[in-house]
Amino acid sequence: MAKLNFDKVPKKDKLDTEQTRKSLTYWQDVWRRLKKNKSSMVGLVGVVIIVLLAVVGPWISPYDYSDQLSDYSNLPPRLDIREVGDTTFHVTRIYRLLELEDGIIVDRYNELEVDVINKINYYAKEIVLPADLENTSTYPLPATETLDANTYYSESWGIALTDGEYTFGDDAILVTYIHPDSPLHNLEFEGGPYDISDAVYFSELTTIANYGEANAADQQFDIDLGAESIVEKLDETQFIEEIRFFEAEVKLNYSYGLLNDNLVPTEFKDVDYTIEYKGDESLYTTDTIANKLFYFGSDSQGRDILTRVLYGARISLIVALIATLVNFIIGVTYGAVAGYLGGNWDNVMMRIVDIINSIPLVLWVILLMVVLREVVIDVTIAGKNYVIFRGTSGLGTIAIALGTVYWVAMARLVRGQVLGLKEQEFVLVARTIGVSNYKIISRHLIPNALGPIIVSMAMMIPAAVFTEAFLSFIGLGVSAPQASLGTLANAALSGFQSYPFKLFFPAAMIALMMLAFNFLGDGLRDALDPRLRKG
Amino acid sequence: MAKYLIKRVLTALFTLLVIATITFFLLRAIPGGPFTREKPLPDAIIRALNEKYNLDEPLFIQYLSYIKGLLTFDLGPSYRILGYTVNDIIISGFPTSALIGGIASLLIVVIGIPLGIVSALKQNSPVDYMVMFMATLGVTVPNFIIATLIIYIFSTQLGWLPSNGISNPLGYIGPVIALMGYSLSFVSRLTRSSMLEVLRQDYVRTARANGISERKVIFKHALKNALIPVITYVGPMVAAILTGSFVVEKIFAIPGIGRYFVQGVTNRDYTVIMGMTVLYSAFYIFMILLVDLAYSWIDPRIRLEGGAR
Repeated sequence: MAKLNFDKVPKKDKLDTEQTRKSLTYWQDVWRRLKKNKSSMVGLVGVVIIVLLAVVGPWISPYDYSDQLSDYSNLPPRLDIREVGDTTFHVTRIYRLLELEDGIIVDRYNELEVDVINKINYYAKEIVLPADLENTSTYPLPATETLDANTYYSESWGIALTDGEYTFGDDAILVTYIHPDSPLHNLEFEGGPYDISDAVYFSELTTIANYGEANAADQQFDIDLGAESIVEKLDETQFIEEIRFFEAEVKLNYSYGLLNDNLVPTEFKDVDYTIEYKGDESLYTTDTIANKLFYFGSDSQGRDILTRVLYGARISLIVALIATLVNFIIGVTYGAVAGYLGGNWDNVMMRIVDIINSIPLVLWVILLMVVLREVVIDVTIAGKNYVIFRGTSGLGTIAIALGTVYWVAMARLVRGQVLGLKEQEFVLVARTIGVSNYKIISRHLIPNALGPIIVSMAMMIPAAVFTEAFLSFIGLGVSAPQASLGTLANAALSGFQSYPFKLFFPAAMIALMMLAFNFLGDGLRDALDPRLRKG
Repeated sequence: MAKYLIKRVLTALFTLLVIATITFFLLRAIPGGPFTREKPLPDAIIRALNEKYNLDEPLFIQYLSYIKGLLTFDLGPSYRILGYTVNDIIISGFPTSALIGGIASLLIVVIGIPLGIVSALKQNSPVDYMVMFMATLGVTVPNFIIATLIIYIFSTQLGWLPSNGISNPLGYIGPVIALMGYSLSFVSRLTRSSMLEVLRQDYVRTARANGISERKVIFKHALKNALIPVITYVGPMVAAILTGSFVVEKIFAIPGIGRYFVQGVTNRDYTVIMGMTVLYSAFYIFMILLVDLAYSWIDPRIRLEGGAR
């Protein structure tokens, strides 16, 4: 075969470029692999956004985490509004009337409100007392019953009343005892039992003294006047139609929502409340608009939930970060030393780890919190006193408590890595040329075990957030007015049925944080140690 | 085998003793005592109470008498729940916690493992994505939020489930789901990943090459090995779930024993904390023993130390 039959391949067709790839260091390679993994990039972006929000958010926000606008408590993120004529109103769940202008709350009917609320409740509740109530004898207080101070007892009606407070914080009169023979006992109304305490709970008469001639000395008083007037009112009143906010000429009537169903006229059955203003009347919610005062709503103290959530994320992240750092420093050092020294040292050190591992977390946290509460670490430099650590805040304490519990897992991991690494030749070489133990551990062993350490740290952060949320939930969290996400969620639980938004936002933030860190951690694990790649 | 078991049981008892000892002395190191109140009690009363419960004796004597009680299964009286011994508390609350925990554990195994297997076999299919999405959600939402959401949606809004208590059998549904959430997700993720790893191994390929039916390959050859990490997790998990969860029992108002530990710690009710710790540790150690036994049953290559060759 003649040589002439073959042509030389032109230079541009040679497969030169494809054969070699730029050589990458381990970390460059990790970064390349991480970038290829979609979910971990989502996680990374999420983590960056959350950290930015947590760091910058509370600064940008017009509110401070502890700012209270107590007039505007428990406002939801979306307000139901009523447009009456040219004016817009919002009525809160406890029937407070707010006026809005361009979606912003501008006015509130402050002074008259408490009286009005009491009055309407009084009528609305008392309407359902049977009208033919009579007392035929007297009912002396049995010797077995003792009354608290400030409690008054009526012999003619067999009922004990005391000044109290209704849930909203308004004054009320509470029924604390009913004589078993009294006609007020086991009342029946419309075939069902009727609780008298409901009827007297709310009252326009805000102190006992108004109920009759109270005799404080023997705690006896006559309720006749009060009871009669109740009965009289039953006769003459069907239901109250309107409540006037006199100065503003707004009439807010929410008796329909409170009344027993069969007392409400059919056309008002599904009416919660009506607003009448300058001759116009509104029966139904006209629109819902975003709450421009508090975008995520406000809590029971009138604090901005958005700011609190961002601030809570910051606290949770700080706790997680400190815990992870403590965990890193103690765990890595301890594990590396135990693994490197080996033998009896290893044995003893690992048994100590086992013992620490067996202590219940809650016990440990409480012990640390109680002990650290007293501790103040400060330094005096040039006559000035700087406090480095103060246990009272709860923040440092909980972070340290978490860190000192979690390092155990890290120590185990590092020890395992070191046990394998220390048998390798490069360690032997280092030893032969007389490198100190400290340098072998810090320069040779730990950097080589860094992959799994980083993965474990990335997974540590969500675990710490989770545990911190749990500890806050059982009441061991950071102390008020500071609040972590866990504290926020815990505080929102009590009024959860009425104000779900208070729980929703912190819970969503926790879930988002966990998701982002988990995704990132999974991705890091795959990138740092391809052998561990799952699926 | 018998020799191994005896050795393990003895070690377990020793471990239990160590845990009880540490907890005992750790508790006494916490400032405050069971009779510390916000409004302090008169000294004379505290002295009398300490005398009644032998808390005035030297610490070491107290320790010895506690251990003596422990050996005879007498966990002592509660200092704060008057008239009850710790034994009473466990007897009255444990069955409830254990029943709910037992149902939850069973469902975790019965649902979680098959879900993991299915999503491993159908990797990167919509089923897989669905399962993994649910699983990721499950490990990211704390159980107190799951619990409140269940109450909000199914009790308040829809009215299908009672919001608290377990007098109605439907009342079990909420707590069981809240208790399962995290572990169910974790188990299905774990099963999936270890199944994927096992399916890639040579012996599975060999089995397939030999023409063994796919069903047999999966259930007889692959599944057994894939279950090892799952069992490692499930063992201690069952111990934790059976002994009650503070959060879930508090939210659903369940009369279990989950709340006593946290309550005990805040009240410094020494005997109650000790009792709960010992109970949990005993369960934990027992489950780990079971797990170790299961290992050698699943994978005969794993031999029990001192076991018959």
